[in-house]
Amino acid sequence: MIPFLTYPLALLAALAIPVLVAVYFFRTRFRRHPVSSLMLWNQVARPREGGSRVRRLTVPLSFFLELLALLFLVIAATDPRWASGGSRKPLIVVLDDSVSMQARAPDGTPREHALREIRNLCRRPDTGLVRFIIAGKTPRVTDSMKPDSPAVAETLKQWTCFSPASCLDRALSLACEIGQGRSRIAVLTDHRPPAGSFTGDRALWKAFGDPSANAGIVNAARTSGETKDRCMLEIAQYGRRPADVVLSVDFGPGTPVTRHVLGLQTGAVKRLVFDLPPDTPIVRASLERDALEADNLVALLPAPVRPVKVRTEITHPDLRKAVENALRSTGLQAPAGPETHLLITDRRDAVETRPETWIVRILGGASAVSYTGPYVMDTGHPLVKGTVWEGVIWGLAGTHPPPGLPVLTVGDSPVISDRLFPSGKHEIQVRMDLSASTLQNTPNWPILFWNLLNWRAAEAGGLSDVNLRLGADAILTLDRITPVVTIRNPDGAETQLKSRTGRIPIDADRPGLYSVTAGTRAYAFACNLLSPEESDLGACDSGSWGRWADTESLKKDYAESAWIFLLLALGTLTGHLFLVKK
Amino acid sequence: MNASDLNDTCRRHLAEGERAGMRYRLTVPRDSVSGHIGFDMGRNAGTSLDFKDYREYQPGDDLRHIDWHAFARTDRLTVKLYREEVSPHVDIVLDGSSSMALENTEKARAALGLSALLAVAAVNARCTASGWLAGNGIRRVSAGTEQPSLWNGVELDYRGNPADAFGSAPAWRRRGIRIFISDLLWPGEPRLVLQRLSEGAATVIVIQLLARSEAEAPLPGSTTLIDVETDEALELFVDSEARARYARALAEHQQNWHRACRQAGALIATVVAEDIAGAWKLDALENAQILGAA
Repeated sequence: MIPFLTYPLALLAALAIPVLVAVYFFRTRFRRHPVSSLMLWNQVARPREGGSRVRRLTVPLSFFLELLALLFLVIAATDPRWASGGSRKPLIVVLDDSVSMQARAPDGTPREHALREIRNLCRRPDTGLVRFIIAGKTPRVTDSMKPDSPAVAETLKQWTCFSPASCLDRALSLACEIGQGRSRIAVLTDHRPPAGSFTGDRALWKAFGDPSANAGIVNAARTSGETKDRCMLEIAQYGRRPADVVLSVDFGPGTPVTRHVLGLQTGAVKRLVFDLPPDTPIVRASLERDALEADNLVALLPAPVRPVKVRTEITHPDLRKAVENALRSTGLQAPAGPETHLLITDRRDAVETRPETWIVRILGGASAVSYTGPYVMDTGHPLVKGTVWEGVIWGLAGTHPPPGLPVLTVGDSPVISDRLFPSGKHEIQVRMDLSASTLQNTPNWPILFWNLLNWRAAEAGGLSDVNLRLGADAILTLDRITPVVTIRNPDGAETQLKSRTGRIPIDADRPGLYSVTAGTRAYAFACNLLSPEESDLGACDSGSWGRWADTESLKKDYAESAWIFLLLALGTLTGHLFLVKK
Repeated sequence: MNASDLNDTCRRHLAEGERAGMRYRLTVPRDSVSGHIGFDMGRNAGTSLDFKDYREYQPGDDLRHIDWHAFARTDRLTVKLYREEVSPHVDIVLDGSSSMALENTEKARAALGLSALLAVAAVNARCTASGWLAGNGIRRVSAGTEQPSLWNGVELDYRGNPADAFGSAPAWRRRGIRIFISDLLWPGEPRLVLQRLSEGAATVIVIQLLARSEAEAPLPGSTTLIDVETDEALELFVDSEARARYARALAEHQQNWHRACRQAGALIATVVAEDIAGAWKLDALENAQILGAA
């Protein structure tokens, strides 16, 4: 084991060794002494006793004792410490996986700096097993590995820095929990720790960011209509000074690229809306090269139009009129044929056995009671997305609780419920009496039908969305079971997934165009960064906070040995004293 | 240092010794010296008033010396012999090897000064003195019979074995006192040198002049010993053990010389250059009855 020298500068004291040698050199240098005759001295040099001739050492023993004592004292002054058992500390490295780690600075990106720091940490002699926590949307923990093993490099390939956010707080908490106070923790990121001091002797926070100016496309959307499509782009400029941002929009082959020069103040966001012909293919918008490239390019695919075949069997004339108006306003309704996707009825006894036909029952009653709230809704349910219920009067009819899970309740009474059959078919029950309600006169009414038809369209087969924000999952719904689904990501790498349920979540982990092949069907979707928090590099910073191991901890990890050398020096000097006195 | 400066230095040391010699008198042995007509009693019969011996009258003897009382008693003509009046001579032989001018020591100053001191001390003892230099042979120094400060050509630069200088007998005065000043640090038997010195000498005095670093061994440490006469070098780590061995070797060497001097009937004394140079207190020579107060 190589000893650790606490004070290596004390080795400068070894300069006294040549001084000692010089002293003895000049002291023991032969003095010239003229004599009348060597007659008597020859007898001194060659003793008469005879026997083997022993040549006496010209350098006295005291020199060697003094040299030895000096060496012992020099070593003791450096306070050498030997690594005691258990001195290697496990290391947990929390890696910021956000896109801003790819921001380019003159001396490299924060990710490149972090990789160098990882190499340095792994090379430390007191580093034990290493574990990584990649802090993206959610923390991902790797296995422990030896710092010098090839597994480190392989694991770091998973650290791509394409996450729209970084959950460093959660990752750090996870690291503390995994480390259990025995591991050293290093956080490598591009910004300073949260407000407040970062203390402790086990965690080190290192930032390699640079607060550069950056412009990016922070929002983009494309909607499809019957006669035209519409594109919306929001461009933000994050710099210390106002700047002109040049936006180029390519509407596809055959159309020239349009160029827009946007004069933006610091932190300003400019929205641009374009109308497009409905058959416009992919639209690409790009900004000029700057610190962060990932937010400079956006691709928007045309949303596939998937009409929903709806059949209505409503006896109540007012209800039928309201429903048909709402269906028409969605623009997604298609006449029902042999295949019906959705049956909307007000009959309690209507039965639909075909598995592809969902049923929506709107059930009223004579003894309806009006309620103004309180409303509680399942915010994750696609049916009520975007609805606001304050001020809506609900006429509740019937007392029997509807089957299925509640989607919306008034007080303790479910008014909208969703029952899922094993085949994937849904039955939605709406307990509402039109005459006692104001729902049909609120924006919630067309929103409900819009959500319903979109939901049904998405479940009919295909991708849930073709223009995703980075971090969101694309859901591929298959109308028939397909053994293998092949996904090609923007880098060209292919992944194959298997699904038994007909629904496949696809993780878009980086911006770009994806293609999906399921049997004979092919799909495509675009993933864009669209993250103002990552585009704004003004909060990036460089520095080091926290520290590892204070002196007391270091003392426990390394055994002192200076006392050994001091004792040796004392013994040597005692011998020297004895020799000199003799 | 050029020849002129060297000469001046030598002259200065000689003058210093000459001044110091004023307070000393060489101790001259009475029964063995001979010399020219002077003020002292010689060994031979002479014309002094000091009675020496009887002998039978020979034709030509001075009739005034016939002992008539003895004739009356014995009917034989005998004459009285009286001691001759002589002036003893001292030959001061200085080892001229370069070791006598060992650098970083007072040896040269002590050697030249002691030579001059002894010459003046000899004169104080009503002797005559000559200065000799043992180097490439033994030669009298220029103006060697004059006062030491006038001596010339006393260069201590011979790079050979001083014993080799005694290969041939120099023209020393017979029945004189011969004083040999040297560090005696050369290999070889002292007997040969002493034999040459003793030939026709009344007394031989050997004065070993050592530097302090020669008498006590150099300081401990890594040392490169350089023989100033042969330029040989010896690297040695001088420690307490080495110093002890050197002391033993020096003592053995000195004992060897002492033994040889005893056998030759010579006096020997050892002085340390740093002890005598300057103050010129020659207790060792006084204790050995070589010098006395003037």
